[in-house]
Amino acid sequence: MISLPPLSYHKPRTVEEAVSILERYQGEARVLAGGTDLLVDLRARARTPSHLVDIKGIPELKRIVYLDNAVEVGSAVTLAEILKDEGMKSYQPLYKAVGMIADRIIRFRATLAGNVCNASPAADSAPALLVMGAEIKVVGPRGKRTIPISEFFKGVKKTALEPSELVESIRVPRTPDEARSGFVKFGRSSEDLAIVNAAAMLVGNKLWVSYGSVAPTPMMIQVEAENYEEAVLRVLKEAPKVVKPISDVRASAGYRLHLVKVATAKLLKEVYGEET
Amino acid sequence: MIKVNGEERKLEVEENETLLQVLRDKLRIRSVKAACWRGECGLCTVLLEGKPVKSCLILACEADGCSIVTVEGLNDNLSERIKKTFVEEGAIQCGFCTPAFILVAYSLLRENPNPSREDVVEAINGLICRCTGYHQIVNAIIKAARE
Repeated sequence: MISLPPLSYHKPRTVEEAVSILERYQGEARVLAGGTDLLVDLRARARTPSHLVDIKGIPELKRIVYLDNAVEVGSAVTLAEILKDEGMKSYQPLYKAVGMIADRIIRFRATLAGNVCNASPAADSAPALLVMGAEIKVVGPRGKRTIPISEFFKGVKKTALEPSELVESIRVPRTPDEARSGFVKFGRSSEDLAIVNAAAMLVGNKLWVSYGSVAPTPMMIQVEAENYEEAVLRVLKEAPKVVKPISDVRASAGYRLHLVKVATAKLLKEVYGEET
Repeated sequence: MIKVNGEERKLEVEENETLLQVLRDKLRIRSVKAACWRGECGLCTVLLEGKPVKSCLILACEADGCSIVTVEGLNDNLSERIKKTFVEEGAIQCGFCTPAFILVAYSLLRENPNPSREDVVEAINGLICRCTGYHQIVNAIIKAARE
């Protein structure tokens, strides 16, 4: 067994208290939500905070709030709670992606905000949030701000969050009624990290496609297409410009490039309702 | 303070101690297995407030005030039925993973008394068994639901 390094555990009851703890231990503190990535990283010494700020005792972060044209998922809401919420089912392709993160037992603990803030290039929620135009609502010592998800990922395990900032919620715009979407994940098994994952959103003839696990951050492209065949051609012309896969324990760069094509075809069949 | 199998237990823990360490080493509950320490094998699964969680990924501090159930705490009709069908269907071989599978089966059937085969497969997805090949376990859980 590898022990966790020495830690101080904090359990604030309000957002203000959480921010003041994060500010007091500038850079030495990290937010603990579900902990399903963080504890693994602590054990591997991949992250080395000496203070953990558990946000599960803050009631306002544990809510899913529906607005007129968006939903705000609090940063302490678990993936299982999202999947159980009837209203979330219309937020596609996010709902589908959330159901494919890790395994069902992990999803009782893991959070959407944690999946995003961990900033793994393979995060399954990221491509879905990108094509939906989600925003990260953040609070810090100098007040609140909103970061578009397209500006949130800064590198492998790096985000635009300042050390004393806390994610309050993830704001996901309502999908237009006529929109179509899809999400696919390729891996050794469904619960393992993706070798390639991808999400798409089609509104009219505008198509957004986002890929994960093929570059240091999830990438997105946008094309215009009138039908499935045109979409595949255009996407496969644009995708190679943004995907820069590496070889690692799960797959070689060459295999990932191949999977980008396979994933694109499967994804767009789902979006356009083509037979597989 | 944590409530383990219905009994309140007050103990001092280190801030970097996991729930798994406390259950096994301080409370001597050895049915909760320690294996991968990274949330992959699922054999340290316990029920926290009725939901299955991997105790190697939870700090003991986080469980303060919570109710925890290990396989020793299951003794109602449903759990007895699950234990019986696990034996009948050959869902137990070396037994190392069995407590985790029983707990997950129990929490699934409590929530969904009539699961499809897909529901069962999805529920046990986060648990590893190196002996059975899983089919016997899925069969046992479905049989327990039908009996």
